[in-house]
Amino acid sequence: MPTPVYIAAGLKKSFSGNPFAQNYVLRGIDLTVQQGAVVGLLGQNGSGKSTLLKCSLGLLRPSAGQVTVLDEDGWDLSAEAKSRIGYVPQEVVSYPWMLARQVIEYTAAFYPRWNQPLVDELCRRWRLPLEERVAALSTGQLQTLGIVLALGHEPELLILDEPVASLDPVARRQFLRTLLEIVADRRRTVIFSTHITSDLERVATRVAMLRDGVIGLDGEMDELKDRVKRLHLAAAAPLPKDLAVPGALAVEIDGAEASITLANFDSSIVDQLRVAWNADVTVQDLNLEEMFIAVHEHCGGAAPSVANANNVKSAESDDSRNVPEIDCP
Amino acid sequence: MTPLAQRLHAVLSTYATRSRLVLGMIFVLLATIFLLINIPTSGVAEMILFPYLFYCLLWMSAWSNGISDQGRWQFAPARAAILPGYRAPHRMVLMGIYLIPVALVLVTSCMRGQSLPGAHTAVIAFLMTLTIAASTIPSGLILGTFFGYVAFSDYIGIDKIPQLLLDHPHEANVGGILVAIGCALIARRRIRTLSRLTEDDPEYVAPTWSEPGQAARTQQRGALQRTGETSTGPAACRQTIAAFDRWLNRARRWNRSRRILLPTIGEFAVLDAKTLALLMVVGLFLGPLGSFARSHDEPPPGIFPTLLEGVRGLAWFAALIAPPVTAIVAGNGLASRLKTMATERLLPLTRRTYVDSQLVAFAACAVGVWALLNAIAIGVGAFGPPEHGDSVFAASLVTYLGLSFACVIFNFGITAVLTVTSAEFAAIFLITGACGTADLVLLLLWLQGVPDFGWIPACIGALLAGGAGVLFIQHARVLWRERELG
Amino acid sequence: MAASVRFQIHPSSGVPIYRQIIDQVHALVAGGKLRPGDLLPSVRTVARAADVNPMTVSKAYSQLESAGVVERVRGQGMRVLAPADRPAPKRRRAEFRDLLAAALHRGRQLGLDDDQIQAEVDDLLAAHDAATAEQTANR
Repeated sequence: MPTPVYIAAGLKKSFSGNPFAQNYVLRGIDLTVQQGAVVGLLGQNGSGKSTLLKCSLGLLRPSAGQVTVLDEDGWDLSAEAKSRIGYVPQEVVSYPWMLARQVIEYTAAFYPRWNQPLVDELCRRWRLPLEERVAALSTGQLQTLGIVLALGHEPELLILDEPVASLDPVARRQFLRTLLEIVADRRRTVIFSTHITSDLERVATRVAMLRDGVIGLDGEMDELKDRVKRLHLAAAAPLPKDLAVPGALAVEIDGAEASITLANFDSSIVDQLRVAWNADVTVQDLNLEEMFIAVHEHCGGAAPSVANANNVKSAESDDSRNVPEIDCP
Repeated sequence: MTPLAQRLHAVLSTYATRSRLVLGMIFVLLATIFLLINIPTSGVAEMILFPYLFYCLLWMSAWSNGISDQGRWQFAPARAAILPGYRAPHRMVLMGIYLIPVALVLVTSCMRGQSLPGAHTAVIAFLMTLTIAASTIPSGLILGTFFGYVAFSDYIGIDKIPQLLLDHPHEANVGGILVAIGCALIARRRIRTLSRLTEDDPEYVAPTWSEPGQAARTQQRGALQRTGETSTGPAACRQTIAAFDRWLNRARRWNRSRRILLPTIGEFAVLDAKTLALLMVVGLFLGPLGSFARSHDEPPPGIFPTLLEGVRGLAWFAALIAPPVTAIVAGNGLASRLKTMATERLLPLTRRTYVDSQLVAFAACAVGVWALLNAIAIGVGAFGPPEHGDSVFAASLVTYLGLSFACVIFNFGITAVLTVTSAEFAAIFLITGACGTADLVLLLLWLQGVPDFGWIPACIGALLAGGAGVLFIQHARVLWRERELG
Repeated sequence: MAASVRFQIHPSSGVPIYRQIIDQVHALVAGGKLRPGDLLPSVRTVARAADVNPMTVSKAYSQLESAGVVERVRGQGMRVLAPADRPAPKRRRAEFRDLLAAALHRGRQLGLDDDQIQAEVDDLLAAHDAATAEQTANR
């Protein structure tokens, strides 16, 4: 039975000092990550990804709720817990006056377990100029240095805040390969934020989408792809504007045609729609990017009405698998 | 293009949002007016006015540096080259900021019916030009020149100049106005250069340091490589860096609590090494010059005594001024490391160990500078021979050292507490500036008036300041430990 | 030999990676490219070649094992089983049914009657079988 290495419970964060004008960046995050999981945190810019990760590591203090990391309070991590965590911030900051090699040696000196052969190998693979001053490194090289520093002590929990944002496609793929090697050891857990969905699709076993300070969509990657589908309807007659389908993430109607994104696809719904509207129905698989857009566009618009609900049978009724949480403000 | 008035308004409002600049302007105006009022030539009033003017001048230099910085900020990004009619109003505003104190001095001087408005204008124009061009001159040089000027103002015979000018008011005014115009032309040229900054200019680096983001970094790096700052430089610099590298290379073998001090000390050491080197150069030049000027009616007593006299003056001044200022800079040290702190706080250390070791490192820098400069000053006999007898001198020296040390602790503590919150720079500068001025007044009073005051008030003052400083440091420990880093 | 088998994995497709692998194994078996006794490439090989998480690959293999398409042989890997040994999976029939339902509906819209649809299905089946037989003969 895997144990949770990371638990966020009712986590809220506001940057306003005024208790009467709280502007929450995080509005109640509940997230439990089991050992061995690779969790991709998706969200638009400003959705609170970095804030969530910083709250998890004791860089920010939660306004409410709690984060438990490796069985310790995230705000007050012990030295021992910190030696088991690796973190790559969005913007890697280091000492401009040191050589890259000196920064590595300096950091290594703090960790009781430091895998220097691994670090040497990574530096070689990523062509990190070790005898160069940090000030003269390019953004990509600096990011690489940050990643090397976070991997050197072989952390059990690796937290990456948009680790590949400033890497070129080749370097990004190399990083992904390294990440895959790391997670081949099933005791390792990785939480990383990104908005490059194609990277997530390769490595992540689980996806959590952050929207407006809450987890909007959360589930195993494969499960999400299995169940979030888009139906394209081509009916004989114009469809009503307020056509509603239970569990729909997004409904777009254009005359006799419609596309409906379902959070919880079931083949029976296709038959029902086909019969009800005398329509051609095709099912489209959605990749992560399309899901991401669907989640955001649905929540941005008006809530779907419940009219015409009697035309279609409830989609969840005969589904025993657990339903992905859809939480829209 | 939009009307000029509209663009001008937009530019002005940009500058008005920088409280540092606005507040600085007030200080500069106050300082210029003070400079015009005849300074009392003796007594306690002078003792108080001198440090005050010193801080006014520091403010002035910080302010015009700010203007230069802001100017580069406005002109360096690509938008300056792209936006239609961008440069003209920006240049006008910068020139306006430059001209205001100059015009003010001219008007005040005329209104007070003084006979040398032209000469006054020349002085202020010269000062303003110096400060507006400040960013192109190494700050150490400016500081050194300034220290040198203050230390040797008695010797250079500046007091002779006013009489000379007063004897020939017409020539002095015409000459002054000509000098002022020359200075204004230099300033205008400087502003024009600023407005045409391209990525090829080494100066282009400066404003982008504070601008986060990839593009800025790329530019910065390009400029860094162009200027070759990392690989070349004077041989002495390279040797210092090499020695520093050797020191760093050994650091891994240190114990953990010493290791965490490393980047802190390192950062400080690099900065201080540059400034100290420049100060030394300036001192070597100014020292003999000052002594020579002082003995203008006597034959020079020989090179060695002249040199020693100059060094003594410099050491006295440095020991008096530098430690309290360094303590303020060091107290700000933790705040200046906020960015690296986010990474460092995830090293396997407890928060308490981390914060304490950082505070210790910066406090060590402040105390170190205090100890070093005072040791030098005592070593070269800058505090004077034992006029009141050996025992009295020794006792007063010890009291002075205690007072001075207490000031260092107090300044360090209050700055460390103030900078925990990312509060307004200006407010912090004001408070620390006031503390610094108070320190200086206290120390000068003590140095000048040992026999009059006695030990008791000095000891009480030292105890109070030192005790408050310790309390502040204690409070800073807690505040920094609990501080968020986001 | 199994080493020649390469999966075409598209991580950014809407079809989950594990399902892509399962479908391709089914197709390879049906097309005769994987025969009973052949070994599937190792999890590590597949994951490396496609730069995907090995967990996904092993998930696909486990599902193939429980569906009776392959069996786990200690020290060797996954071995393809003979078709007779495995029961017709209900799920695949259901999937086929869905595909057919859409086609039937379109047929009706085009105005075809029952017999015409039936005839087209028979024709297609005959043509497909003939093509498969030819392929096998050529091998």
